[in-house]
Amino acid sequence: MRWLRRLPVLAALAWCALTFAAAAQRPQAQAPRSPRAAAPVDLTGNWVAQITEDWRWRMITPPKGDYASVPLSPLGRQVADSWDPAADVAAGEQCRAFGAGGLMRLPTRLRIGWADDATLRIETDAGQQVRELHFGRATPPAAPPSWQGYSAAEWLGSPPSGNPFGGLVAPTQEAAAARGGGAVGRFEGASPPAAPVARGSLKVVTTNLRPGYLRKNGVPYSEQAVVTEYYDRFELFSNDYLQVVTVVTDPLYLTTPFVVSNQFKREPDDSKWNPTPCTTDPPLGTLQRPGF
Amino acid sequence: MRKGDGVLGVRKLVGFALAFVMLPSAAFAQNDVGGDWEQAGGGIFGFQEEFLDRGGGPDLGDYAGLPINDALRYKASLYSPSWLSVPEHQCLPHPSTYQYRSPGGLSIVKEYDPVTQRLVAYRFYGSYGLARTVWMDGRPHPPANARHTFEGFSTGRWEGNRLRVETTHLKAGFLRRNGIAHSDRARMIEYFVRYDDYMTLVTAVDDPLYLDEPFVRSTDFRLDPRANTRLAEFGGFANGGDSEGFGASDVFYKCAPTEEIAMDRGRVPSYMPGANDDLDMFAKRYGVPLAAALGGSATLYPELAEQLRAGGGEIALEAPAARSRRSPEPPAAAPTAPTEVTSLHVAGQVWLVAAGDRNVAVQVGDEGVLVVNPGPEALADDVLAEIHELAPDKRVRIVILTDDDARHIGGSDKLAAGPTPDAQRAAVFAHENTALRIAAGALGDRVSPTDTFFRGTREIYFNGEPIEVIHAPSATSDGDVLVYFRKSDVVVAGAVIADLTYPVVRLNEGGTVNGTVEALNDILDITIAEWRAQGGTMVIPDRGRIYDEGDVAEYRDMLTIIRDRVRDAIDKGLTLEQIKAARLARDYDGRYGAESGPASADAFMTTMYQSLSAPPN
Repeated sequence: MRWLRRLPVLAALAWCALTFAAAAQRPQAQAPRSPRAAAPVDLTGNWVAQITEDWRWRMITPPKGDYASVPLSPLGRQVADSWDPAADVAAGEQCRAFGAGGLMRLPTRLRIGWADDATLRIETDAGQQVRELHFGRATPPAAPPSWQGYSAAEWLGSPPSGNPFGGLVAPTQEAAAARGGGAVGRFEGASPPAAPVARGSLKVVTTNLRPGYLRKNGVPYSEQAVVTEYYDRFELFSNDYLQVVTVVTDPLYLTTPFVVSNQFKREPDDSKWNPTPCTTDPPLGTLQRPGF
Repeated sequence: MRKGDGVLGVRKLVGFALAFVMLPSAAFAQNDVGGDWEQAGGGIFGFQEEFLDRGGGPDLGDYAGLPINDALRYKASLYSPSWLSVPEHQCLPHPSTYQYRSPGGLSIVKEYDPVTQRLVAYRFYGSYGLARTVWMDGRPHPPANARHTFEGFSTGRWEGNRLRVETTHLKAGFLRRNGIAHSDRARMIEYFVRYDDYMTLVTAVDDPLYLDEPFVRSTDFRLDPRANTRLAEFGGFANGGDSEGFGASDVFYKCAPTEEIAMDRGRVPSYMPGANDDLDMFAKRYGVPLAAALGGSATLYPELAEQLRAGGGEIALEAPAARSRRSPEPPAAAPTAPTEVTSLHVAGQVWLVAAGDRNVAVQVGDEGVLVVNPGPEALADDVLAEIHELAPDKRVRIVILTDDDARHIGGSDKLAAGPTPDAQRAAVFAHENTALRIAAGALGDRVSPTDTFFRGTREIYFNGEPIEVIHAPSATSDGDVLVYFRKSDVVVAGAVIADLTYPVVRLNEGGTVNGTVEALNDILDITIAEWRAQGGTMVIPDRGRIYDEGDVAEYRDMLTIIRDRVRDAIDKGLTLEQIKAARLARDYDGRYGAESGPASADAFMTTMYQSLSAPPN
């Protein structure tokens, strides 16, 4: 009766094999889907920014040198302190505050739609900027730096095709730095065990940027900046919201990543769409140096 | 081949296979929000949004970007920071609607049922020591008359890669530390989402009394294995350590109010209407038009930026769509049906039996049942049935009447009756003034106190518990009493606290506004909060939900502040009509103004005026 003693072992092996086979077959049974078809969250539509936080730094142009809570390096502070709005205008660089590092922070409306099956397009009426988020192409093509740079997009929250267990990805640069370095891979992209609903997020990494402003008063990021964003949708008291978390890393002007999150409320149509050009506005108020 | 030989033995093979199959669980867990978190910018002060609001504090009159309505704008404009020096407010915690805006770290701990191994709850620990539980086991929210807390009652569920949390039963509390506070009607929805090593908390607070639309904001955290120790470090900072908390002694988050300045008992600092000269502090400092600085929905949207860019200092803000002054109650706080009788344990031996919209207090013990305010006559049979559920085989032995209101005492006759016509009836206690009014009233032939008293306090020992029946002279009437169950630590407030409405002060029965305020302060003298201005002594109001010291203080503040405004207006020579036109209580009318009757906003102001205008006795 040795086989009886081994019965639990054999049963466990059989269970493992069946589980793996079943899991592996699910995604393989489907044809590869386009990023548009595979979207775990629909971000398209018309959205308007709600400026409920940092109002003084977003709704108006704050005084020069007002960079409280931005982790500027000494060089970054030097640049911020030397901001000259007239020089920006003279140089035709009024769009510095409308680059990818600061754009989603502005009081603006968004129009989000698919340019093609692998490119999500975001338009803003403030500054009339266009961002293109490219799926499946992590490496930017050779091109000069621009206000909106090159944005590589990937979905979070749905298992990548062909791998039933989610994707093993490398940690982000800042995450690795926060841990003290190291290349510890980790899984992401799957729902927790109790998840009753399939939902997900969009991750966007933008590089190849022209130097721009985090705030309209010349708080800078450099051409070395990397902007990582996470897009999500939430239903809050029967209202539809878009949330964008922005993480800006910049070895030149920032000492640590600059992390902010922004809310947009859905609008039924684009009837309030009001395209305005990039502007450099005079600051309001006097510089304060508040602390604790 | 010997057992265990080979590149992979059977056991190893099984082990590897199991590990492989279990891999998805590990992968899924990476989306979880459990763990230790610090501010997104690192450490305990590393927040990179709302630096002023979350750090040193906002300016007075900085309401820009907040979707507040006129009532809250008015309330906040009269807020005095000295309000925090009131003993009942000194230990106020930040409510869960604001708490995570504080400096410090956040630890989220998972709790499992030890038998089923299923997730029961997330426990949140963070700045300033207000722990919080998010229940994940599908339990319902408590009934409408359950107590409210600063953390509220929260339930959660996973929606894909994010944790959704809904919170009800909140106390009133700050949304911004310059007088912008939501009411106890507020609800909150939160989403916790993890992105790589960051976690974002999206918070939406809706308050039908004070907000024109939900107030949405977000808070960012970064994973930090040291964050749990940083919780203590922050306490260390608050206790004399350096900016990271080092060098301080250990932290004891318990807070006890102290008297640092001489302050009259019951004083509630607040600006009189029009007297706050600092209201334009923010507007002046930052060159913002006052209309924009004072907030409202229109200050959230890009149209305002256009106007501000156009300059000139003059702006025209679009009024938001009208919102009902008294929006429907959220489902978890629906008012009790007029004919429904339910019960809820309060503390110790004391229960609250809700008889329609009136509260009956019931003490149950070995000796029998003691009832305070039996409720309306029409519901007496249902109240008796509910008491029978609570205490089978026990008789009602004592009835205490806190005043002569028929809605409190109408059921007295039935509850006091014995099981047979010749059985001994329950003793009925009341103050002598109440007894006299009952005798002269419509219920005089059916409700008859058997035991009255004249002096300040009547003492009873029943069911192994000392009970004080305390006269509150000239409160809502001249016969009001408070009932204090010493061992259960429960106060029955009677008509002094109406919760759902303003108190009904019956001037023609010897009631006064000042006497009612005094009675509220008497209750606060009895109550002792267990932890951060909440818990501890429980209080049963005439109507509505269970109170604790924090709630009594809120009600006392309301009555005191309105009284002070009306007295100030009277001193300035304003007539009743002028005072009504000035809507001096418009910040409270939505919460406490009844639709009609003596507790309506209009009738309450009339009573207030007449009471304060009357010559002293």
